[in-house]
This record gives sequence, structure tokens and C-alpha cells, in this order.
Amino acid sequence: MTKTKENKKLFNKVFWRSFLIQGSWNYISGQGIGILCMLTPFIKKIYPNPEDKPKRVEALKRHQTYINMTPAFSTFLVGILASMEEKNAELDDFDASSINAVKASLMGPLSGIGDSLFWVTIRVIAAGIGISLAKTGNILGPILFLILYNVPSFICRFYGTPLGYNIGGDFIEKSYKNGLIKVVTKAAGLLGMIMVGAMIVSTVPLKTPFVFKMGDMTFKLQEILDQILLSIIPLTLTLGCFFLVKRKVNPNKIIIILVVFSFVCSFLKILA
Amino acid sequence: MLVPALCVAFVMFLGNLSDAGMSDPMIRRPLVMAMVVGLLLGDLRKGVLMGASLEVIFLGINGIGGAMPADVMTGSIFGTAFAILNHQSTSVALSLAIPIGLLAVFIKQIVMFIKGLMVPLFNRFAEEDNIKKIEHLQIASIFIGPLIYALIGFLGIYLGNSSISLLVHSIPKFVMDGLTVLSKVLPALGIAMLLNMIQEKGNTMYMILGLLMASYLKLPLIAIAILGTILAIIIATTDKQILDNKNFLNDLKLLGNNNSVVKSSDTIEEDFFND
Repeated sequence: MTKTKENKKLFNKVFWRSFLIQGSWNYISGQGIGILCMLTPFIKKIYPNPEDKPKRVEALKRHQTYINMTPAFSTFLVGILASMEEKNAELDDFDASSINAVKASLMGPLSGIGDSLFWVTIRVIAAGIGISLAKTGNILGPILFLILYNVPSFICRFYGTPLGYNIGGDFIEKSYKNGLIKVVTKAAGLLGMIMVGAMIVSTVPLKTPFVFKMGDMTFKLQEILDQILLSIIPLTLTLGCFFLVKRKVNPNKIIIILVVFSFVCSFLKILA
Repeated sequence: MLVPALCVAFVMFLGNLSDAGMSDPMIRRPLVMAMVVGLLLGDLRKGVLMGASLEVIFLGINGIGGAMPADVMTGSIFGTAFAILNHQSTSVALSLAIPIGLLAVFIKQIVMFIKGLMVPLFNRFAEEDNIKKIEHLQIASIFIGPLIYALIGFLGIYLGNSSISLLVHSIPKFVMDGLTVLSKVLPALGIAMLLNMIQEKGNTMYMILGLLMASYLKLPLIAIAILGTILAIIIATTDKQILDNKNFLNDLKLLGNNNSVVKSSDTIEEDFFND
């Protein structure tokens, strides 16, 4: 009873500390220090005595390694790490390097799921509703946007720590091996891709005003393109950019290409 | 210009603090930032309208981590502020916000550089077993970005506003037209960056599905999201079933192998005894 009560206090601490996760974000450790500072309440509890110092220092160093993920899922990861760290203190033959192995193997799927869910799906829905209200000058637009995005994010972070702590590293390792994580990642990615497709239509409003004459007949290029596929111009442009991004072309270079492209197309009256 | 400059400095401070110290609750997005600028500079309606237009342009462009093509937040704040202070239309504000956003990327580089310098310090504190110092430095690091952003916000308005208003009046038409097209082309890059995050072999067709739902069926985003969730759950359940069957078969095989091992040893034993 006292143990669960004590843990509950620590879970709350992790939730409040998760607000600072991006605090010292840098290219070397990413959110590493943020994750470490969420874990320190547990580290203090697990290695309380002066004679635990070597193990404590090791833990402090271990959790500074590079990590970058959706903040909404960070407490879930910290819960798992805390349960593994506890085992590390209890069992003599526990392989401490497995903690960082789990961390590294979870970073990909967790940010994959988190980005698809929060960055692509929830944020785009919230922004879509917010924008449509704000377009008419309604102040509720931005406010609703903040509420719609943050309520799921808060819930996710508040319940993440106990969930991760109770599931523990063993389950994660097992579901990594038997492929369960892949199934969840695939489903989240699928939803994200559907939203991306819808976003292309709603956010790239490009049309061509190009008109060409053939004898007495005039053809509007846009009408012909619409017969082939609606929003074919936005799709082609997005796929073009995607091709460059995937080729690891520097985003600033892509911007310069797009600036030149826009000015040329606007000058030749191809796009408007 | 002192009071508006202080107001913009405050908005820059708040925007960056929300990312570093509130785990990025999307306060730094143009939709919110432009509204706050409008509120403080006395033209709330224009701020909200500008926020809507800017959010559409920058919807896909991410500010956390990795390479970033534009400082969406700074561009939006300055664009809105200049439009309100110089009584310009929203289209002028948009054409200011984009180039400013592109130029302002260097601010983030400064902040990242300073935060990178702290990494050895964190390592040393860990070596010294000093948890308190690690936590204090982490809390202090939250304010590095906001202070730099606030300084640039203040100087930009205090020193820059008069030259910007001169500039605005001398923009030729073809530049304005080009910038308008650019504002419609830029979202494609943002979406391409999102795609790069989540695209995998075999899920490209779902993007086309979303595109068709929006363009031909004209469904609103929320309906597409709900349909997408249902589809994702259906596919995840079938995948889970296939996975369970596969794992079950594997277990059976393992069991079978073990049996055969036992059997073979039995037969060896039998053979041994028979001999």
C-alpha cells in the first residue's frame, strides 16, 4: 500500500517534469537531459544510499544519451525505463546495457506512432477546425485549436508513466521480437498517411490560370487537368518536394528552388 | 515604438518558452502567435485573420529538432506586427512573414550552439553525482532560447519598423505576385517533410485514399480522420490475428522440434539398448 502510494507520487512528479523535456534540446543529446531529469526522482529512490554512488553515477550517465521523440509519449518511455532501472538495482545479473537497448529500439516506433497520431492527425484536425473559425476573425479558432491538441496530449502524458512502469521492459522486448510493435506502428502510419493525403487537398490551393488557343477554341488547362485527377497539381508538387527531401537535399536548398520556381511560374502566368 | 517593441519581445519570449518549458503545447504556432500579437497591438481581428492564413502556409513545417527550412514562429510574429503597426493588408503581411521566416532560421542555430556547449557540463555533473546541479541547469536552460528570441523581437521592431514600412511601399507587383504563389507552394514542402517522417513501403496508397476522400468526396477533415481510424483499427486487428497465428505455429514448431529431439534421443537409446 505504501509502495503504490509512493509510486503514485513519483508518477505525478514525472508528469510535471515532462513539461521541461525540450528544455536543453540540442543536436548532441536531443531530449536526453530532459528524459534524465524526468527519471531522477526514480534514480534517487532506487539508489538512495551513499554506497550506491557508482551505480547512481552510471545511471545518470546512461540516460544522457541522444533521444528525440514526440513529447506526448515521453512519460510512457520513462515509466518503462524506471521499471528496468529498478530491476537493475535488485538483480545482480541484470544486464544494464539492455536499458539503453530498449530505449534505442523504442525511440523509432514511439516517435513513429507519436508523430502520426499527434503531429499529423490530431494537430491537423485541431488546426483545420481552428483555421476555419479564425478565417472569419473568430477568436475561438486559436483557443479551440489549443484545447483540441492539448487535452489528448495531457491525458497521454499523465497516464503514460504508470502504464509504462507496469508494462515494463520485458513486455516491450517480447513484443518487439514477436512483431506486435510493428503492427501498431503500421496502423498509426496508415492513419497519418490518410491525413497527409487529405492535407494536400486542403493546404496546397494551387490552380493554373493558363489558357491556350487552338484556332477559335480556347482551352483552360485547369479544366483539362481536373478531368484527369482533381488536385493533380498539388499532388505532383508535393511528390516532387518529397523526392528532394528523401534524397536528403538540404531543406534550405529546396526552399531556394521553390522560390525560383514560384517566381518563374508566376511571371509566366502558369500558376496563381 | 518602445511599447510595441516590448510587446513583440514578450510574444517572442512566450512562444519560445512554450516549446522549451511547456513541452510544446503548440502555442508557438502562427494561429496562436498572430492572435496574441494582435491582442497586444490593439487589432485582435487582424491578428486572428493573419494567424489563419499563416497557419495554412506553414501547417506542415515542423520546428522541433532536425533541419528546419523556416522559423515559422518568428516570421508570423514579425509579419503580423508589421502589418498592424503600418496599417497594411493581410496579403502584405504574408509576403513579409515568409522571407522573415526564412531569414530567422539563424536564431535557432545560435540557441542550439549555446545549448550544445552545456552538454559537457551535464556530463561533469553526472560524474560528480550531483543531481541537483543537473536539474538546476536544465531549468536554467529553458530560458536561453526565450531571452535571445525576445531580444531579437525587441530590436527588430524598435530599429526595423521604419525601414520595413519604406520597403513595403516600394515592393514591385511581380514580387508580390511571386510571393503569393510561393505562399501556396510552401505547404507542399511541409507536407513532404511530414511524408518523409511516416512514409514506409506499402503505405503510399493510403495517402492517395486520403487525397481522393478530400478531393472527390469533399469530406471534411474530421470525417476523414474518423474513417481513417476505423480502417486503421480493422487492419491492426487482422494483422494481430495473423501475427498470433504465426507465433502459435512457431511455438508448435519449436515444441515439435523438441519432441523430435526427445524422440531421436529415445531412438538412439533404444538403438543402443537393442544393440
